[in-house]
Amino acid sequence: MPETGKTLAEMTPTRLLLEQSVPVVDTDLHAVLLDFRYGRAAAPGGGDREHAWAAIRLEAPDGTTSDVRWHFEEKPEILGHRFYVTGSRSEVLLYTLPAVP
Amino acid sequence: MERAQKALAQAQHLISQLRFAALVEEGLATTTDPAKGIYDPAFLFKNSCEWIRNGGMRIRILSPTHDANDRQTGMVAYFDATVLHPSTGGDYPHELVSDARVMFEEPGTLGLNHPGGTQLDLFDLASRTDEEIKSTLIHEVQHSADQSWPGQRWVDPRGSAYSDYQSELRAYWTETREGASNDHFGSSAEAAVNDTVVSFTDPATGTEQTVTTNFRNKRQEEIFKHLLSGYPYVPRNYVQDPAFKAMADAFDRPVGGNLVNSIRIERVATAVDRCTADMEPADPVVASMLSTCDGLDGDDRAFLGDETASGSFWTVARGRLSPEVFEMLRNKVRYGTIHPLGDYPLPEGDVAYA
Repeated sequence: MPETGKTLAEMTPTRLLLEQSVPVVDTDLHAVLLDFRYGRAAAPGGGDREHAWAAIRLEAPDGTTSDVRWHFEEKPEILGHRFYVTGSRSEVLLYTLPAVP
Repeated sequence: MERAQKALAQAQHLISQLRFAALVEEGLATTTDPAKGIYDPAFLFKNSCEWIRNGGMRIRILSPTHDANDRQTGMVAYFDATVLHPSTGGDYPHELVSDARVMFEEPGTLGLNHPGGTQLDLFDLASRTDEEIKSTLIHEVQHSADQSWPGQRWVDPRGSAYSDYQSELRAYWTETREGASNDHFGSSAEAAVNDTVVSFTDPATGTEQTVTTNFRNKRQEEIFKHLLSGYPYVPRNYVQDPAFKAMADAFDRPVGGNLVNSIRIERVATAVDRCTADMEPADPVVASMLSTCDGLDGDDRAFLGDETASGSFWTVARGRLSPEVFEMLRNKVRYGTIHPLGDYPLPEGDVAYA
């Protein structure tokens, strides 16, 4: 369940690695990391920036699944939950956010 | 018409592969000038090419298909994901089917570094200059040579964000020569301005937090600013983790195990990895490790001789070797012999020489 009242630094993320099998995101959902890309992209106005995204499958207990590709730092709402996906070149961190920030 | 367009895409792909191969050959053949120091781009590029040639990092050259924007919404189709440098050629199916040779990436992607630093994908080289390709290779090979991915020998035990930040600072610091016309960052001799307020809005609480930087020099500061705008984990950790901020503020110049992308230093470090602190100097594993030092060149020795810049190398070696073997390694790196200069073995017995 979302850890209401905590800052991001105080929350416990689900660490996703490609080799990992079905880590629990919260009591209702499991997550599978399908793909993870990390590299460099052209930045608007020149130069380069981090390029990171993760393709994640979320599975509800009733069998409902949702496959999404998220850029890091995005906050999508999927299967009734709000998430925040972040990390760096070597890990993907998935946070379940409270319903209203 | 479509066949002609595909043939054109394949021809352009071959040109990119051959151009890259020629750049690597040029790098390997370069005669470097030790007087220019260990951050001379020509020297670092030569080392990067040697790193690639010796299998330190696999390279894939990927080019857009003739119908690159029509195969998957919002993505660009590249080929041929099954061909590794230095092999050339490539193909892809006309049909819009799933195929191992076709790889999809988002528009604007320049390159991908695979986890562990073992493989680099370079996209659409036709749109990049030789200088851009060279500095990219120096940068990306450093991410491989610095062995700071999870589980690797020079990782920062405090976590991925720490290792990754340090790795980026090393790579940006060395990818171009400080002060050169293509250098994007300031001078390490000038004091930092520290006029940047870093903010981060916590997605869990919606609260914005801010901190002020406390850097030491301008080059460190400007690399940080670059990371701030394009690497989201940097502002998040800098604002929310005081220990991360303290690390970044104090990391005022590159420190690593192999800042010069040397495959020879990697061989020594790999040999050190095989040793344990209970091994005697006469142990064959130790002897083998010491013999790998014979492969170091003068620039490698210059880098490792700066035990501050090469601190990661020496810290890990100190932990893996007995004090006696560690000193032998130091002498072997510095002087090419396990005895320090001027420390000659005494003749046995009381022997008079004419």
